[in-house]
Amino acid sequence: MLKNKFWFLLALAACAPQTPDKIVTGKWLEGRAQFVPSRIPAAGPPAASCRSELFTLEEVKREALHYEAQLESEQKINGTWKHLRLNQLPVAQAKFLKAVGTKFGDLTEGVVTDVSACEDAPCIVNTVYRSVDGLEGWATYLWYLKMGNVLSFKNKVFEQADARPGVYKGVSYPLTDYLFSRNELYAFWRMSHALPTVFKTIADLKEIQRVPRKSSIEGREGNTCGLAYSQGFIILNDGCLTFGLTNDNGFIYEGTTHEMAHQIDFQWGKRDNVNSFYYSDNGPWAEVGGWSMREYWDEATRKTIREWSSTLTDAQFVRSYARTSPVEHFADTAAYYRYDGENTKRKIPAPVYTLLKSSVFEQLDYDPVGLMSQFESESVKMFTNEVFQSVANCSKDATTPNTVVPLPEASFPFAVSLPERRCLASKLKGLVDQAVVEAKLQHVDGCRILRVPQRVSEFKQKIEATFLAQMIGHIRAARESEDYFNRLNEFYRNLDQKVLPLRLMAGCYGELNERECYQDAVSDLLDELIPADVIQAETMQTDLRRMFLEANRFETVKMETIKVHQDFLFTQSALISDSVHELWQTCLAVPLTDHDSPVAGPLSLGAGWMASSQYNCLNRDIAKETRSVVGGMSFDQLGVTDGKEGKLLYDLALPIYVREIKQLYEDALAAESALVTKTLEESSQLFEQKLKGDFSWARRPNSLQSDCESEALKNLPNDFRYHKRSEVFTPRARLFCQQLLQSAEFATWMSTQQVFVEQQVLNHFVSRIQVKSDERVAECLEKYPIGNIFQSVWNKKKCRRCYLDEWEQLETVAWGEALTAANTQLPIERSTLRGRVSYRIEQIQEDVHENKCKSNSLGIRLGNPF
Amino acid sequence: MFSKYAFVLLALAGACADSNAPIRYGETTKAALVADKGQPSSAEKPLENSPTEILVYPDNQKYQVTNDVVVAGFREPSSDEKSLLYWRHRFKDCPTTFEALSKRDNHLHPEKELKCARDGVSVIYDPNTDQVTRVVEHAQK
Repeated sequence: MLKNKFWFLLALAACAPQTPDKIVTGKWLEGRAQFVPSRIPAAGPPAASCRSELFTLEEVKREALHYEAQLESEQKINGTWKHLRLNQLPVAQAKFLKAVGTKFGDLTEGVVTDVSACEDAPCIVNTVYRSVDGLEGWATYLWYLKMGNVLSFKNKVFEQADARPGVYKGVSYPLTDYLFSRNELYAFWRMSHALPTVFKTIADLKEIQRVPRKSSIEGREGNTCGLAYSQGFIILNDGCLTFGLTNDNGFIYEGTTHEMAHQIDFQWGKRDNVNSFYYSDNGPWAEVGGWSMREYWDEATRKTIREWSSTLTDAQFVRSYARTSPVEHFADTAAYYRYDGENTKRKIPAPVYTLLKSSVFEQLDYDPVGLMSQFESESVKMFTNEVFQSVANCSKDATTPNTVVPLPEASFPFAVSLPERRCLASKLKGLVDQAVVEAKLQHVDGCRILRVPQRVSEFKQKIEATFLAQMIGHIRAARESEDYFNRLNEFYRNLDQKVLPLRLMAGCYGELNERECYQDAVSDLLDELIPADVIQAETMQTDLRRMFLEANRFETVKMETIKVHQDFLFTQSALISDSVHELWQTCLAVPLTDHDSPVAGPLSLGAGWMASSQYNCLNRDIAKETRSVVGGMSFDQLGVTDGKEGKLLYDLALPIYVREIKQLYEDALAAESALVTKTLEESSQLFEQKLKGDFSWARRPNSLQSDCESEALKNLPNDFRYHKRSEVFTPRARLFCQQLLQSAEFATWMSTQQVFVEQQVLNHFVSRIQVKSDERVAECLEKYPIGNIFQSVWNKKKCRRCYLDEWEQLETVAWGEALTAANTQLPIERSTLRGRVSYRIEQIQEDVHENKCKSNSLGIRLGNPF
Repeated sequence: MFSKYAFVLLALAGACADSNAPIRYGETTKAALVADKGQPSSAEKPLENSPTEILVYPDNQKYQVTNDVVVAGFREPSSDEKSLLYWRHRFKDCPTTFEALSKRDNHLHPEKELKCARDGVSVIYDPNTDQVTRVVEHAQK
């Protein structure tokens, strides 16, 4: 019976009849190799090399060129960037330059960074940095290749209040204060190796920017060191970029990872969007964190209040800040999980830990025990072929110096010759030593964890036991079937490829239970490869299934599948860009109106504005066009025909498509803003001309201000697409009209206008009647008091009669006074106008009857309720 | 006897009329709300020692009741209503305010409230996700 069944499975998989590949990304992935860092010969023993030593220009450049090659495509990007023709650059460099755009270096007006001598993207960055050796440029470019966003190298911070580059919070800073230091770039490079795949799939994150040195973040208290914007920016200041005792630790790691975790939260929220817009404030995260929202309307302030609270205790959070809200809880816990794994595991509740472990960290632990386990798994994968070859070589030629101590006979369940045991012992020792070297070299935490001699010894023991077990399995396999052994030999040469798990995972995308689907796909594969009539088929299938799933964890494969598809989309960028431009032009051609309400769709503009005709056109067609673009993608004459693959590519391409549309919107907005500014500058003159020159718009005495504003706005251009006319121009119009209506010119004109003078006189008339009415009531009540029930009965009618006596004369006097107050020369006749205010006069009289010349049954005279 | 039946019919007609009436914040009573919407799934007390309670209904719909009068309602936005542009368009003739809900000192922008007091409608907008997350209706000003 075969002990090492895993290798049997893989061999059979490799040799199983191959059906034509329907998965484009699978075919594309076949051509991609994994990056292998250089083996730097160390001055001391081989085990001295650490990952941190690989942050050199040569190594960073080599890594960058590796990823650049993987993202290359026959479909080049069109256009130019300064003097560079984008279609003559690698696709990745062209995309990098497009992402940077014109905003790089010192953006101060009149200052130009001369990059005319540059022939590639890293050179542009190096020029800005004035790099002595080119490392900054290649490190920045490498970050873009691996993480998909740009480490900013310009002197302006997103949404800063001051329009001037190089000025932040009113203080001038040199360009160098905005640039990341070499140590900070090292930390970013280290994070690109330390973080799991999900951090490399944040499609909406555009840039990470540095707030100038020694400055706090605008609009925030001093202890806020980072901000994440859903528009795709992260800004960090000194507080988030600090180091500990070495450059391998410090808050720079937790701080940056925290902000990136926010971006993941935004992205997952959009994906899972049911009733929420974050992943963390709804669903499983909110549940395990015991989060609930308290909301109510404050009747006193007329404001909505919304506050989060958790049932967890303070001690169950990684730090107090995580207690702020589920969003901060998620971001903070993710950051500390990665860099302070041991304490995090100890502190936070098991359900929270478990959820984070599976959703973000691919079932990996980062406490020392967890990290050692990672080193073991990676060593097993890395040396599978070498272990196999050792057995193959030792079986052919076991010549080994006699000084080497052979493996004991008892190590094997069957007889193995002394020379072979000696040979295997030598190979085994070499492999184990190499495994230690690789753990330190491959893993950013390798040197830190394996610095402790006890841990090294523990690691060596475990690896040795695993390799020995594999060797035993291979020997047995070789003895049972030479043919099988030869097939295994061929297969192990290609063991690093991820194509098989990718194909299985891609086939499960979008299923209700993807994990179950993936596991079932593995089982189906085994059913095919190990027929039921094979001896102990069921046991073999169970063992192999377990081994395969351990080596290809669902969470890891899922993230890698997404990353592979994103990388594939990267190579198809030209197709996406062309479609975006075409759709934009189509929607620009739609007649401009704002009558319809904006409809829901993939595009949203934050607090921005777009005419609804254009907005609705885009939102209606973005999804359709994205689908069409995905349908047109291909690699090596294989198009996207598989439904699941198409769906996955569509889901990943849609945010890219929307991002490019938004970029076009921002460019158009900037162009229109210049026009708006010009119009605002000219508006006063225009208002003077149109409104002062002709007061015919002033027809309604009670609506002068609003009529003036409407008239003012009517005279302004009507074709702004990205600015709400009333918001941009109303304040200016309002101020102008307020001043105009108070001007002598307008007053003079008004005094010649019958309608205004009449209104004025009527207002005075009613006002005088009120005054006289009050005087008369007082006189009448003195004559006919109503202080108790008896007086009320006796005097009520007398009081009223007194009040109305010679009322006509009262009005005549009031009218005379009103005319005097208006001081007009125009003929104003009371008889023609009184009808307009008769109801108001009646109200005054009614008030007296009901509230003054009257009392209730308790003898209390009612006051005026109005 | 006829008058007795007439009275009953009139009372029933009145009750039926009330149960279909739209909610008028600041006027509709708790009883009328419950008659219309049914019993809430739960009730919350947002503030201690206060006559205010929040009645929770399915789909995250809530009503705030103070002294037996419904003063505010909270609901999820429909799909069109999730964009801020939709509300800015809807409120284009209404004087609005757009203010942060809280001055939170953290890594994210605080939620903001776009309010049209004239119509008694506010929406809660989250700049971090660029979505309107809640629609709040209350007594008009």
